[in-house]
Amino acid sequence: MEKEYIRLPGRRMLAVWGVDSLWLAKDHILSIKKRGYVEEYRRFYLTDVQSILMDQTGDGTVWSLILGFVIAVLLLIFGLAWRVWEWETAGLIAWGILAGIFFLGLLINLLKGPTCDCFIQTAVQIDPLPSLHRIRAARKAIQIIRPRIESIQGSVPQQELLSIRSEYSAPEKSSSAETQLGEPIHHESGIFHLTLFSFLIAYAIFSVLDLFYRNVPIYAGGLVILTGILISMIGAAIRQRNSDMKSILKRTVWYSLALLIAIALGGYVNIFLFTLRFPQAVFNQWGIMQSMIKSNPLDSTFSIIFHIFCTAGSMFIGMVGIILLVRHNNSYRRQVLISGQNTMVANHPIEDQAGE
Amino acid sequence: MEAVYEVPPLTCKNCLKALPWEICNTPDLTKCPHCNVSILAVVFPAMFRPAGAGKIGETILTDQEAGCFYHPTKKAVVACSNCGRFLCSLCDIDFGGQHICSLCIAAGQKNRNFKNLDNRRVLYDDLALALAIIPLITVYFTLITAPIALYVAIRGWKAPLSIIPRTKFRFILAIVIALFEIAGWVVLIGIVFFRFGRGSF
Repeated sequence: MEKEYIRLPGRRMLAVWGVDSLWLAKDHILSIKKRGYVEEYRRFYLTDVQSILMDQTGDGTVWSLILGFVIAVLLLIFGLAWRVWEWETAGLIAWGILAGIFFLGLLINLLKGPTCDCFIQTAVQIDPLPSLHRIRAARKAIQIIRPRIESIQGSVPQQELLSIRSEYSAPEKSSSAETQLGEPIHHESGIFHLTLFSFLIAYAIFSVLDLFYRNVPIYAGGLVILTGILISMIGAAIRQRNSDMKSILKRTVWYSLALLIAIALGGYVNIFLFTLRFPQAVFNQWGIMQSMIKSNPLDSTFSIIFHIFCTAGSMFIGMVGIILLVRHNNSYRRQVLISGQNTMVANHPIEDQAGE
Repeated sequence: MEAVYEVPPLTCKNCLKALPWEICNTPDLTKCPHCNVSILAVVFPAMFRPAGAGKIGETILTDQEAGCFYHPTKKAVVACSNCGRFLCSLCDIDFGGQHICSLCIAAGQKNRNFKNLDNRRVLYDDLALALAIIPLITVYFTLITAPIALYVAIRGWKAPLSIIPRTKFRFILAIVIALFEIAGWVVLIGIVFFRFGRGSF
C-alpha cells in the first residue's frame, strides 16, 4: 500500500522535548512541529509554492567553537588533576568521560556539516522550515520536493529567469524591511551589547584577581560587575528584538545568560562546599560572606575550577561578542554608503486577456 | 496586448536585500551579492502567476432563480456537498474537490471530519508513555503517575493519533509499565501492611 506521507531528509531536535520534521504527500508538504506530546501541522500545497530559499548560517560554527572551548577547559582541568593535583583514578576517568561526551558532540556537529535556514514562500506567507537545519539535508529535501512541484506547476528554466528585466516598486508601507509578522526592522548599533560584552571581559579579569588577591573591594566589585552584566543583558535582549542584527550576534546574549546562570549555580555550590568544610562559620549570611572573603580560593579544587571556568567563559563570550558587534556595525556603514533603491519590474509575457 | 505585472523579488534572509533573478534556480549554492552568504534559491511558475480575482456572486435577476442560503440576493450556483445548502460563488469553498460552505468547514474542523484541516493533535500515547517512564527517575512519584498513565492510555486509546500513521505500541508499552509500577507499589504496601499487622515492629 502506497504511503500517504514520505518523510523528507532533515530532522531538528530541540533539547529533549521538541522535534521538527518535514513530510511530503501527493499534493502538499507537511511541516510537523512536535513539542512534548502535542503536534502542530502546517501544510503547503504544491500548487501554491512560489519559491524555496536556503541560506547558510553560522550556528554550526558557533556550536563547534563552544564545544571546542568546553573540551579545552575540561582537558585543562583533566591535565591539572592528573599532573598537579594528583587525583585518584576514578576522578580522572570521570573527567575523561565528561570530556569524551562533549568531544562526541563536537564530532557529530562537524560530521553533520554546515547549518542553514530554509524558507518556503507562497502568495500569502514566507514560512521557515525548521527541520531543514543542515545544508546537506536541505539539499536532499529540495532535490525530492522540486521535481514533485515541477510535475504540477512546470518549471522555470534559468535562461528564462536571466531574460527577465524586472522593476518592482514596493508600496511605501513595505519599503523598509519587515519581520515575518510585518513589524518594522530597525538598525541597532548595540550600545547595550557593547556594555554587556565589556562587563563580561571585566568579570574575567575580576575572576583572575579574586583567585589570587581576594579582599572586600574586589569581592564587591565582582558583585557590581555581575549586576551590570544582568542589567545590560536585559537591555540588549530588548533592543535586539526586531533589529537588523544577525542571529549569531543575538544568540551571544542568550549564551551570556546561560553563562550567568552557570556562574550563579557554581557560586551556590561553592558556598555549599565552603559551609561543609567550615561549619563553624555558618551562623548567618554576613558571617558566611566574611569567612569566604578571608579564605584562600586556591585551597579548594572546586574553587579553582570554578574560577577557571568563569574567566575563560566570560573572556570568550565577551571577545566573540565584541568582534561580532564590530563586524555588524562595519557592515551597516558599508550598506549605508552603497545604498540605493532596488526597482524591479517584471516584463514577463502572460496569456493575452482578449484570448481567454 | 501583452500584460505586464509586478513581481516582488526574493530577499536574502540574512541581509534582507533583494536577490537578482540570475542567482535563482542554479544547480548549486551561490553567493548573495550583498552579504556574500551562501544561498540556494529555487523559484517556480507560481511566483509569476497573477493572483486570481475573487468571486463576488451574481445578483438574482428573476424569481425563478434560487438564492444563496447565506446571501439571499445572490444567485446560487452550487449546493454544499456536506449540508446541501445552496451557495453563491462567494460562499462556495472548493475544498479537496468538494464544494463546502464555511459553516461546514468550521464544524468539520471542530469535529475533525476534515483531515487536512487538522492543525493540532494531542498525542495521548506519548503522554501516557512519558507519565509511565519519566517519574521512574524518582521512584516515589510513580505512586501517583502510574495510575494517571494508565487512565490516559485507556482514555486516549481511540483518540486520533499523529497524522503520520503509527501503531498503538506506545499505548501498550505505557500500560505494561504502569501496571508493573502499580503492582510494585501494591506489593510494597502489602509487605509493610503485613509487617505492621503481625506486630513485627
